This record gives sequence, structure tokens and C-alpha cells, in this order.
Amino acid sequence: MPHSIDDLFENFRLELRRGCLVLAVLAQLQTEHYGYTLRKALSSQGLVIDEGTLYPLLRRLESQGLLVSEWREEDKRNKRFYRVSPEGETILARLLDEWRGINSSLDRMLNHSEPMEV
Amino acid sequence: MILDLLQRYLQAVKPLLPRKAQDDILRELSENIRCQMEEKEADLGRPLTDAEQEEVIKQHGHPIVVAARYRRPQYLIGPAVFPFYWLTLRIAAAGALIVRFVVEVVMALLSPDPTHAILPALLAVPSVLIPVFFWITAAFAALEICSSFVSMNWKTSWSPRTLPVIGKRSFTVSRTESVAQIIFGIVAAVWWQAVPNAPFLLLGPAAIIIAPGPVWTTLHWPIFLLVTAGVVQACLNLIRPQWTQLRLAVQAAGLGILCLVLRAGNWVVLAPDVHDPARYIRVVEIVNQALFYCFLIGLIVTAVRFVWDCIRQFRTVQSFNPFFSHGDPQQSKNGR
Repeated sequence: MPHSIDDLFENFRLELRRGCLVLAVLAQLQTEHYGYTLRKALSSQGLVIDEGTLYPLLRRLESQGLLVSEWREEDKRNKRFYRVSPEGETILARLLDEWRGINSSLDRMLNHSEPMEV
Repeated sequence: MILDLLQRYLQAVKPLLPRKAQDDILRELSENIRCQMEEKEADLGRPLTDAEQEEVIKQHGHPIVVAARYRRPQYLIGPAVFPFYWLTLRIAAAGALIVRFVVEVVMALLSPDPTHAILPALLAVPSVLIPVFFWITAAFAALEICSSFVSMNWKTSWSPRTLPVIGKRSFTVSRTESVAQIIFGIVAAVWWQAVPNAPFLLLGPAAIIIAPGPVWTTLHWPIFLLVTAGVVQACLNLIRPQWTQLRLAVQAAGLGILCLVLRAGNWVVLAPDVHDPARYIRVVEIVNQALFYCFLIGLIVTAVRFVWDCIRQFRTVQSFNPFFSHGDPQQSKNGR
């Protein structure tokens, strides 16, 4: 069944975002956050992410050993605080290298490409 | 109200979550919703209305969707195994359908009114496909589970050298097969011509008690012509192995004659000069029953082979060389 351009764009956009979100969450959690403030921090920097995506992602990253968390009281309420683990730091550094490599390649392609001659 | 709605929401999510993490996830989810509500209240400078509270909870999503996101990817067969599963399923389903089709055709031919057998045959299609689908899926699901624990090196252990050679896909009759068919065909033709005058050549010592049924007199010459045609076809295939249509034609004729033989029923009868016929009538029945199963199995095997050869013939016609376009003169030259 043929897809509309909008459907195709949405699929590609989600694919593109999926990997970037992991990178963004790991980068942001170099400073400790609980879920709600993490979401606000990401959002304030232009990366809007809904709870349905963020919380399962945090759990997955924690189960993979890339994050550590603890329940702690703050403002008379128990909150679960997350931060990146040493393994997470290593992965983050490698992912950032990869990201920068891809980014610079794309930049070269987009900035130096010339119109095709017919 | 807020507590009631939130509790109801959490209660709906809880049983759908992974059991070990249920309480932990619910605490975090509850905390997040409360934070959102409090921030909204701070922004508005007043308590939230019921509708606004409901809206905050609703933004989190349907309980089933929310809980599903905390589960591991849920699939029976993962993307790495799926191509092997799909290919196996198609081959198994096609094979099962072919065998069932042949059996149904045979049963239809044997029934007094073949047209009445068509509908049951069509209705039998799901009963063939569903077990195939079930067992293949179950096997690959088990394989998928095992792949989490055991290294599946068969997915990476292939080599391009093990793939079929280009040009070898063509369907030809081997010379050995043709020579064998000529020798056995000539012997069979001579033997068949001798049988009417010497029934012991067909029945052995039992020719004292039983004799060939009338069907063999009716079909004597068609069978002889079929054997002769087989010899002629083998001679031609010895020179032109690629003339496989000839063999398909002989196979089709053979199938037709085998169907006629199967429908006839009384393949042996009591010999005319046998003493005490009542004593041997049971022997005739047993021999006819055994012959029925022999001819039935023979027909099924022949039919399956015929269908298989037809598929090979079709694939040969359809095959192409990906390195040359159809208009490429090199291709045309090689194809001649």
C-alpha cells in the first residue's frame, strides 16, 4: 500500500529522533535529574519528549547499566533521581564521536554539493 | 476527585506492567502526574478543575499503551529470523497444498461423481494451511527464544560459493536418465506384449488362481503406446536434453492412464479354470485391496513429480541472467 508523503516523513522523523533521544538523555543526565525535571530540561533546550517515551527509555537505559537511580526525598516528596553511570559515560563519549562524524559528513555533503549537470 | 482519578488510572495500568517492576513504575508515574498537576496549579494560581485534572491524566495515554511501553519488545519472531521463517513458511505451505491437491484429485477421480468432491476439496484448504502455519511459526518462535541463549552462527556461516551457479537453473533431462529410460522402456514394451499370452509373466505362480482383470485388455494398447512414447522421448532427450516439454507430455499421459487404471477397481479376477472358487475369492479381494494402495501411492508420487517438473519448467522459462539486460546482444548470443 503506498504511503503518503506525510506518513513517510513521520516514519523517517521518528527513526531519526530515536537514536538522538538516547544521546540527549545520556548527555543531560551527566547532571542528576528526576523524570519530571529531566523532561523540562530537555524541553527547554528544544527537545520535546513525552512521558510515554521518556520513562520507559530511562528504565531501559538503567537496565542496560548506562544509568543509575535512587529514590530520595525532595520537597517532602519521594522522587527517583537518575544520573549517568561510568558505563554510560563511556557509551556517551563513543556515541558523541559517532554523532559528530555523521554530522560533519552530512555538513560536507550538503555544503559542498553542487547542482547536478543535466 | 484527583486522588480517585489518579488511583483508578494507576490501578488500570498496574496489572499490565512487568510484575517485578510494577510498584516502582507506578510510584514514578504517580509522582510525575502529581508534579505536572502542581506546576499547572502554580501557573494558573488556583486549584485545577476536575476537567483539567482529567486532561493531565489523559495526556499520559491509555493504560494499555502506557504499560506496553515498559515491556520488552513483544514479538514471536524477530527481524533477524523473520526472512528465514517467511521463506520456510511459503515453501511448506506450497508443498502441503500440492500434496493435498493431488490427493483430492485422486479421490475425486475415484468417487462416483467427481463434481461433488470439488467443494470438500476447497474447504480442506484451511485445514491444510492452518497446521502448517502453526507448526512452522511455533518452531521459529522456539528458535527465536533459543537465539537469546545460543549463538546462531548459521545466519552468518553461509558463503557466496554455496549459492546456485548462474545458468545451472535450466531444467534438462540427464543423459543417464535417458539411457536408463530407453533400456527399461524397451524391456517393458517387450514384456508387456508378451503378458496376454503368458499371464505368469505378470502374476507369477499366482496365475494358476488369479487372472488379469478386464481393465488390462482395455488398456493394453494405450499402455504399450505410452511405454513406446517414453522410449521415443528418451531417445530425443539423449540428443536434446533441454526438450523437457516432451517428458512433461509423457508424464501427463501416464497420469491419465494411471487414473483410469485406479478407477477400474478389479485389477485381478479369479482364473477361469480354478477349482473351488469360493476358497480363493478372499485372496482376490486381498490382492485387489493391496493393488489399490500400490496404485494410489504410485499415482500420488507420479503426480507430485509431475507438478514439481512443471514448476522447474516454469522457473526455467522465467529465469534470467541479472548481469545482462534482455536487449543485450551478449545475452542474445549466449542464449542461442
